[in-house]
Amino acid sequence: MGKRRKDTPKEADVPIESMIDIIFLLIIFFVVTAAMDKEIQDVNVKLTSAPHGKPIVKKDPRAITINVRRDGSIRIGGQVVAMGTISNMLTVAADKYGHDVPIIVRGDRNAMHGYIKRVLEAITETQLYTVKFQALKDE
Amino acid sequence: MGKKRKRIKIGDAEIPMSAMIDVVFLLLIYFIVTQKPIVEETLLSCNLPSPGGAPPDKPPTFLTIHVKRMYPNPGNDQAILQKDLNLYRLDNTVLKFNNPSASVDLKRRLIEMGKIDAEQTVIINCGPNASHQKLVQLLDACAVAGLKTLNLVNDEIPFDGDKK
Repeated sequence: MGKRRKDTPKEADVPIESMIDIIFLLIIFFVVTAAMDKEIQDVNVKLTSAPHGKPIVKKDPRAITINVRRDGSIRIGGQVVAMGTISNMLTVAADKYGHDVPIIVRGDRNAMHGYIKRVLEAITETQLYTVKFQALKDE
Repeated sequence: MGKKRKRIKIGDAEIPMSAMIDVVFLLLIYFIVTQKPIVEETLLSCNLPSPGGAPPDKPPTFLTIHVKRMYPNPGNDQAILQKDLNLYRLDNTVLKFNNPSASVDLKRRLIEMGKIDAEQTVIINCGPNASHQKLVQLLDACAVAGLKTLNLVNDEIPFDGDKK
């Protein structure tokens, strides 16, 4: 009498190792992209509160954020930049995205306006005449 | 004698929960440690002076506000107290912004002006030695009043920032 081979069902395993790999890849992705976003905003700049301003619903991806610290040092994208560099950067941005490119100035609340004024002069030099000052919505 | 086959029951298929729980707890701890409170931010728009441009047919109505830093008198020993004293001058009326009642007066005045004509041009003349905080607070007060046409001009007075 011939033996009948019957496929025995194997134990059903969830491939947990590969799932962990994917989770770690996702974590690394989010950590890296979150860090890039933070670089735009200088944490050493203490903003003024403006509770009556409209909240930021959606940020324009073209926006250029200029951080002005209390001591007058200027940072764009986490890098210290000189005044001449700002004009060049804005000129390139205006040529690429048009003259309606949003310029956001994040000035420290204790910075003297003279420091902000220099940045504003660099902005007007590149024929951009609208600027937005960033502030905290909360008190 | 026939072999007995081991039958696999449904309950035998186990997911390695302990490893998954470890990972989930690690993730939870990571996000708890790294999370920061969401701070809502706002943007206050302002126009900058542009060269040229044709003059308007009829002169627009202007409201000029000066933001200046008041200096202590020479020999005044209250220099520290007056260090951050910034004044708003509104139609020749000097208002101390650091004084809460005066601040309310300025906002009330701006609201009155906004009710008369919300489209009127507001010229903000900000001195280089005034703090940026005062300018932002003024822009916020203009937002309360509904004044939208805000133009920022620069006072041509010496800047003390480089003397440090």
